[in-house]
Amino acid sequence: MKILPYGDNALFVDLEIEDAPDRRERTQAVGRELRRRLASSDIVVGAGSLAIIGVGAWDDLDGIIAETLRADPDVDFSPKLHILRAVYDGADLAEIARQTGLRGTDVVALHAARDYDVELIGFLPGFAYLTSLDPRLVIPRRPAPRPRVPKGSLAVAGPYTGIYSASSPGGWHLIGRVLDVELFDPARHPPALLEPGDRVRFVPYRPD
Amino acid sequence: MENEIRILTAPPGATLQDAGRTGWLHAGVPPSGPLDTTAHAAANLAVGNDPREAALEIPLGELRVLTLGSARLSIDGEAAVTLGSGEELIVPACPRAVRYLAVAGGFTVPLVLGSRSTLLLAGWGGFLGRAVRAGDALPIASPGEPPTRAGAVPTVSDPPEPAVLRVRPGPHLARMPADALAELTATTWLVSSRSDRVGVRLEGPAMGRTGDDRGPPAPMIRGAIQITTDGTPIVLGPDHPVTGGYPVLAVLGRSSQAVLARLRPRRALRFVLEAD
Repeated sequence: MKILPYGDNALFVDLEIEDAPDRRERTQAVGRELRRRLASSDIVVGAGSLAIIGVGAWDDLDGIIAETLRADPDVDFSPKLHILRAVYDGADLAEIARQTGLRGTDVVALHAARDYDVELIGFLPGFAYLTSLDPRLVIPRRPAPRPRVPKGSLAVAGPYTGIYSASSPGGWHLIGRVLDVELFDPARHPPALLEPGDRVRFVPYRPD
Repeated sequence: MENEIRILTAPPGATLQDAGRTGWLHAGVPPSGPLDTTAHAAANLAVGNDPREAALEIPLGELRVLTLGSARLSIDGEAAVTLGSGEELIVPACPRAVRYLAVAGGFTVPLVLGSRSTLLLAGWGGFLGRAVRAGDALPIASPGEPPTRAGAVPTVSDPPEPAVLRVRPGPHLARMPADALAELTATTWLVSSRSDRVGVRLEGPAMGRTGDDRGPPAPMIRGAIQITTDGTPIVLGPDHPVTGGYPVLAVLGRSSQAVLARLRPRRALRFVLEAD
């Protein structure tokens, strides 16, 4: 583990578990423990890394993290399951099929066949990086990002799938879109629908 | 009738910003807040406001307003002026890239997640979640309330050419060539016109890269200097994505973030490493 200063008033924690199979669970367990101990600080969870915002130094941090990493990560944590309707009509469906050597219907079937875990929230308000994509669907990001990807688009890139929570430029491959879901609403409590550790299931839907 | 400030003309990207939205990074929400914290605070203090009050951030061009009801205003902390109803004020473009117009009592747009700052990419906060444009009527507090604060007003200086910005080493030195920090600090960079509140791109020789150009998503902060695949440094601004995959080579110190905000496109800058 490495704890590094991150600018004037933050710490960057690299758990050095980038390739660990339980990276997600362990990083989230550390995130939950840091939040419990430091309720006033903003803790950002990355993939095997975290940032503690508003804290320039913390003497006991090494010990707290080491202890959390040793403990069973799933004590007293029960994730939520979100079931979302997805229309698999994305503009890149044919391109995903071409790059993976699969038929379009198989791409859809594989994508909808498993429950995903929210590894982290980032990129846009309420945007969830969902793992683990079927290895057969793992392809690199598009060579050039689109200037505008519509809100609600369901997309894949590398080992992740995700839903654009706002219209934005984006380099992920569009596989479809989700219906009737607001991933981030600043007037709701909490505003972000998905949280690290939650699970997401996509149910294919054909609009008439 | 409510007091208002009516926009007559505005450059693209003029937004309401208070001191920012703290505590929501974990939900993917960037901090927002002023590009130039000093000038923003100075404008507020000059009209007797709390320095964190919402003010109009005006990038790169001239803004003209008309007041409905009287209002006391300051540009960047200059001596406050009181306008009667129907009077106009011009905020002229200046050598700095961004200016602030504050009004006594503040702009009374609703709080969103505890802040009046506009988040353009999400379309909420500030005035209807967007940049202001001609015809908009921004609500302001009624005049006549005494100043809540009478602090010293900081001076907003024009940075020298080239500007000198302080950095600390970033968390991803191991993902960059060994001489990357030396390369960053030895180069005179130019501010790209492809810059906004999300980030400032720098023009110069392409930085050397090693190995995988993108890592798994890692937490980002304002001031982080990412090096992209093609070797371009991007200094993250107040509306930055809260995670990113490019390596962070260095992080800009807080006071230097305001200096960077004052540099127009094509202005030159250098980085110096801050001693610990």
